[in-house]
Amino acid sequence: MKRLGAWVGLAAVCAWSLAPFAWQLLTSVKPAAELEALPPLLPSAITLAHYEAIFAGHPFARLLANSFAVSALATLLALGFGSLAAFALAKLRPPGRAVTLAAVVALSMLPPVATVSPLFLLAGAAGLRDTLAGLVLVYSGFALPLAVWLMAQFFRGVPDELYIAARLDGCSAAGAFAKVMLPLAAPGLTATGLLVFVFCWNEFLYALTLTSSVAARTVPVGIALFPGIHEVPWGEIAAGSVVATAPLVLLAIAFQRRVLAGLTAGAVKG
Amino acid sequence: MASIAFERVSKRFGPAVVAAGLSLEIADGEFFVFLGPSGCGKSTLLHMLAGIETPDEGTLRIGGADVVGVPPQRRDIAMVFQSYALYPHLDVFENLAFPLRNRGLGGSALRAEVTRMAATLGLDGLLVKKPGELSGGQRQRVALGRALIRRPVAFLMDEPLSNLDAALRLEIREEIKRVHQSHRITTVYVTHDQEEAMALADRIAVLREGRIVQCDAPEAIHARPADTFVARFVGTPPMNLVPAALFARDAALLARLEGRDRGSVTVGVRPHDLEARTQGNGLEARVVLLEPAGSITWVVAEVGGVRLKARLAADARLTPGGAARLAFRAEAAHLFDATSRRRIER
Repeated sequence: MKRLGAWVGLAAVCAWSLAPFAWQLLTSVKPAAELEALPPLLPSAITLAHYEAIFAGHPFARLLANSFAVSALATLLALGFGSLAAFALAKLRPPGRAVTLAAVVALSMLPPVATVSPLFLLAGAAGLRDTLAGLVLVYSGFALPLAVWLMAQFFRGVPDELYIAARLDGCSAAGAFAKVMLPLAAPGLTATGLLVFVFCWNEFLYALTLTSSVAARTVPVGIALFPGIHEVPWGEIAAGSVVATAPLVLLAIAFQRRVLAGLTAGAVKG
Repeated sequence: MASIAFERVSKRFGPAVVAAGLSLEIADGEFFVFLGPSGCGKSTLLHMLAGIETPDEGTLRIGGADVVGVPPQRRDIAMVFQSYALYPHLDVFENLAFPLRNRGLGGSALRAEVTRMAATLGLDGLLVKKPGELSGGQRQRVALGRALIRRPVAFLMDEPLSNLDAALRLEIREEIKRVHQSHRITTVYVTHDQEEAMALADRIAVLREGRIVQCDAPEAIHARPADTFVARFVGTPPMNLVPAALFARDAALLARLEGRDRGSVTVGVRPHDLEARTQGNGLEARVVLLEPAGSITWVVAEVGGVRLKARLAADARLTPGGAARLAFRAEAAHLFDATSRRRIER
């Protein structure tokens, strides 16, 4: 009875989460004539016309490449700087550690809307408007507090003795970080990286404001710009959404085990 | 190989005093034990030697050189921890090899060293295992090996036996002593377990609130505790402490107290030296309970509101609630000043 309840609950959660995606998937393969009609719920025939349209009629491949480059680079930057900062906060006991961590959290509470105008001006002044580098900088900056906060928890989960042992066994602080701390916090790093990547991949506001052409435009903005003056191409929007979601699903599946391990990284025991 | 010296070292963490003007010399090759109650900051003394903590004041010397400000990796010291602190992502071979790799050793020379160390500590079959697959005893052997393999100038050991069960604790304790006897590497060992300290140490420093209460050979500390704190802390069961006024009729003891106000003296008698009999001379006591311990049976008895522990005399039959006589040789009594708690020599 209890098991049954659990299954029903899980099914409900899955349905709730997956229904919009299923709707998009259905819409993306429906013939154009059936798009704005209900019934039929299921398409009478499956068409790939919308998918062809987004790659033929729009520079969608370029948008995907932009999104991928921006997200990957920003994730690498956030992980690189974030893991160093998190390690220092967790193990080197610098003065003012509590205040620093609190400030990091406070930073991540800042609503993006509040910073969008100054960033627009700054990016313009630095010549970074409508460039991938500009987006990479802004994204990594915004992801950094989250990354530091999360990874500080993972590093704290590694016992102090292991750090001390590494230092006495001949490592500098940096050596101990690279040879002992980083491998042990790797699951946490993966989990953090995935979260940051997803954040960058889905980000819309900055991408919309800081880009003006396909040179740096990302997928979410590209899809939002599909609608023309006279019509909303629901089929193409749906196809674009499905294509944009697929890499995230694949990433999540690929790293699922490591992420789960990351979420319990506190259990690392000497 | 190196001597170690603390010179007027002070360290505090907020309100907790870890060291208050601590001065101490540890000889080259000595097995030195810091003994103190849990939470008295003993580990921090080791961390200062290791270079993880810096003293607020004073100087630390290793091999004569001032090491304050020298980073841990350049002190050539090895440490063994209560939690083993093996690198969980590396197998036993790599754990043992870790300090050597950091010195640039590799290839067949490295393999030879690791194999030799594994053989010495009986770890041959375990080289490909991860620490997670080892038992507690095996883990601590690997930790010992990792510390020993690069022949450091000094060993620091932070309660290395505390996580092991009773049988293993004795086994690894012997292993540690054997390693010390064969290598004679200066060892600074921290524990709250006085039995461990007695069994291992060349010299013991009993610590309390950042000060050394007494520093001497184990036998000397046991035979002549410097104050009532050491008297209670060293030796099992702990020494009985009784106001001298209770012994109004013990002529031999009174002779030792000659010329002192009896109200100002505390008498200490180890339970081993205090015999509980059915009758005869001695303090009149009421038996509270009996505690068999194999070859000895301990008697907990009450005299004038004071609880004492005594050894049951071979031929005595005592029952809880019944009467007993507690007798001891006057020479076996330790005398302490009741106010300063310091030992009175006479």
